[in-house]
Amino acid sequence: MSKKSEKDSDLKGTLYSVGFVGLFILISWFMAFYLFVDRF
Amino acid sequence: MTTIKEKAKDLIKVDRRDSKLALAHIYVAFIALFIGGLCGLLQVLVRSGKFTLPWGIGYYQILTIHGVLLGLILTTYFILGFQIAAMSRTSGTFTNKQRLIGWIGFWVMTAGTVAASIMVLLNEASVLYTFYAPLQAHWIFYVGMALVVVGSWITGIAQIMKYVEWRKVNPGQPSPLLSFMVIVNMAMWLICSLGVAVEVVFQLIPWSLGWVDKVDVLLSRTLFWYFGHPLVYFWLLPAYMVWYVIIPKIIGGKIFSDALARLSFMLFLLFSIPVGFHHQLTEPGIDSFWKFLQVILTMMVVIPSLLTAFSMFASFELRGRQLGGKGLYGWFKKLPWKDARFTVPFIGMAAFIPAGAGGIINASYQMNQLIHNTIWVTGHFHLTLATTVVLTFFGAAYWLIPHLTGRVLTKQMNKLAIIQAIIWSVGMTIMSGAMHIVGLMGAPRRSDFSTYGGAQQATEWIPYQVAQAVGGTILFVGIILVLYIVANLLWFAPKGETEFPIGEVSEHAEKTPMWLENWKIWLTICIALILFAYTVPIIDIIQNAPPGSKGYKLW
Amino acid sequence: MHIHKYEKWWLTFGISSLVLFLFIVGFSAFHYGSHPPTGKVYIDPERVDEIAPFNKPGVHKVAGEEWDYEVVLVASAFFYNPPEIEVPLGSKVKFIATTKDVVHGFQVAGTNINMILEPGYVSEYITTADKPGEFLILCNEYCGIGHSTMTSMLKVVE
Repeated sequence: MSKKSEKDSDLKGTLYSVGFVGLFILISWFMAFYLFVDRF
Repeated sequence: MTTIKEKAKDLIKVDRRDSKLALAHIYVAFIALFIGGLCGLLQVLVRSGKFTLPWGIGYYQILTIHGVLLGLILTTYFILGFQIAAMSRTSGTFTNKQRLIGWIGFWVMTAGTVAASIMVLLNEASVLYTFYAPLQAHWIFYVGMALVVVGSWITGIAQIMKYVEWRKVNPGQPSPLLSFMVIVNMAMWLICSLGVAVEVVFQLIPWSLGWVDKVDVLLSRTLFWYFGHPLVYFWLLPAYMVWYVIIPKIIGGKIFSDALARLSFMLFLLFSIPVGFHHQLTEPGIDSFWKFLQVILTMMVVIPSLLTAFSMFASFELRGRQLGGKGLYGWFKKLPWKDARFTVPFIGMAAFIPAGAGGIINASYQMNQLIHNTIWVTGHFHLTLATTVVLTFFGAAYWLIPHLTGRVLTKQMNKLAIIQAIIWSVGMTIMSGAMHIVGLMGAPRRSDFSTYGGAQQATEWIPYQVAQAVGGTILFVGIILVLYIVANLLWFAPKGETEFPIGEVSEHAEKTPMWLENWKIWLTICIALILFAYTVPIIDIIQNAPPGSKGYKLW
Repeated sequence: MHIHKYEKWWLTFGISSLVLFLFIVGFSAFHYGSHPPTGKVYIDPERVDEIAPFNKPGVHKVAGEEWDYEVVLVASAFFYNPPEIEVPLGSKVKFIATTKDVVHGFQVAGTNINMILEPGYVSEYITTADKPGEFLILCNEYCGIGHSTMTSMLKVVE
């Protein structure tokens, strides 16, 4: 673990940030999909 | 640690003669911003239902001016001006011949812009910036549009010549990252604008001159959207150039990865073009299979943006941690929030999160029916173009213009620039937010104020249209502020040296592999993908064409 | 090319989401037939009024088809014919529409019925009207000065 972080810099904040972006995309997409399915 | 050599590099100035050419483009861009923005203000006011246009000016006339000036003129001119400066800064001063070609391109474009504008002002061309046939504008409008495209090619050729020259002088070396990105964008532009050029020159001009009676409507729309989607990436890529190359330098950090940056640009070249059908998903005459295929390719073009999102956060986090930021988000506070050159584009980046999410929804095949031609779409590209791209351009203008004019951005102007971006965000959140919501309720884009015969649904839209007017008015204040800052930087700011910031690659990053710059491979794949996505459907459209349409002037 | 571990995670997550989206829309489309409106029928735009079914615009009950009603609709600057459409709640309806002049839109606000009408082509869409109410039909593709006055009404009645 410590060896790995020497090679790869600490980007935990980045991981959480892009995770938030991804979640936002997923949630918006499924909301739109729900609306599409609900309508005729 | 900056060495003396690096310091000297930071002060490399764009040659005065190249500066003049770049500035000429930037002048036109900001004039377009003023007039186009004013038209935008008038539109939101009309659409609120509380205001009517004086002197018999038509709503669709100002809508055409708004779209043409902001979507085509502001963007193309600013981008070409920025790219000229970027090439000159990173690949060296243009030769006299290259610069002359640049000027010829500028004047061809400008002649075209003036010709098209006159026709719109005379109400001979209220066909909006997409100029869908069979609404038929005056032939001079189409010629003007063709000249804008051809002029941009000429200017682009000057940039490509500079690049070729650099590669010859430095064999076996990867070109400067910024130059490379400029050339990717230009290559994409040349390939895609061929579509609209064919549409205008071979279909619309002969038809509007009366040389032929009829036009193939679906073919013209397909050619337009072959161009229309890469067009939006032609706007976005210069913003990405600023994010990848300039912003790391401004925050004092390094470029996260040169190779990944190049890879994402190449992916844009490949996947921006063969995707135009996702603008035509609800149209007849195109086979479902090919629509779906282009939807798949559209999803591919999301990938380089995913890469970009990671690279941005990573270069911010690395720098913030270097400055002592602790914990999960300590680095975030360490970023230079008081520097407009960073903060203004940063807001643009943030806007790309909802913009991108909306874009994926738009392209999701049958889900396009939810939003097609509703004002949701207008809300969408006011996040992508009118926030992400435009705020990045404003942020770039705050160092680019003083660099070119030999002036400096004062503290007060820097503060005003940040206030401008905040005003912009507030106005855009209100306007674009209202557009997204009311678009889902069914309110159409590109429509004059209407009560739709007193229909219950249309009555429910009006409060949102009032909100659009409020947001739009705030945005117009933002336009006045940015024009004030730009005027200051052009003519009044104190003389001095301003850096053209160019980021450097992190010393830990590995050497960039040369295959990333092998144009033979990438252009071959690019053309192959286009042929794959378009050949069969276009043959189908031509072979099974219904009788053509004569022209109509219904405004 | 070296890629950071987290970036690999992110790309895997991102690309999987895109594949999931494509799978959902693709499956709905190619398995359940939920395609966006299309149409591969051609018509002479200048003779629309003479050609069936557009010589009789309106709502027609049909038998022996997968759908119960056909709504035949002709758009022209700046009208829809018929100006009002009434179908019973729960009926399966096929919309068949074209234009006599420029490109028009055909959007039923608050529903998924949203298609472009192009001269020379017949646009078709099949759906089940499973919500009662009055739905505004409007033109959402700019067609000229009267664009925003172009309306009709879909009434789904019990």
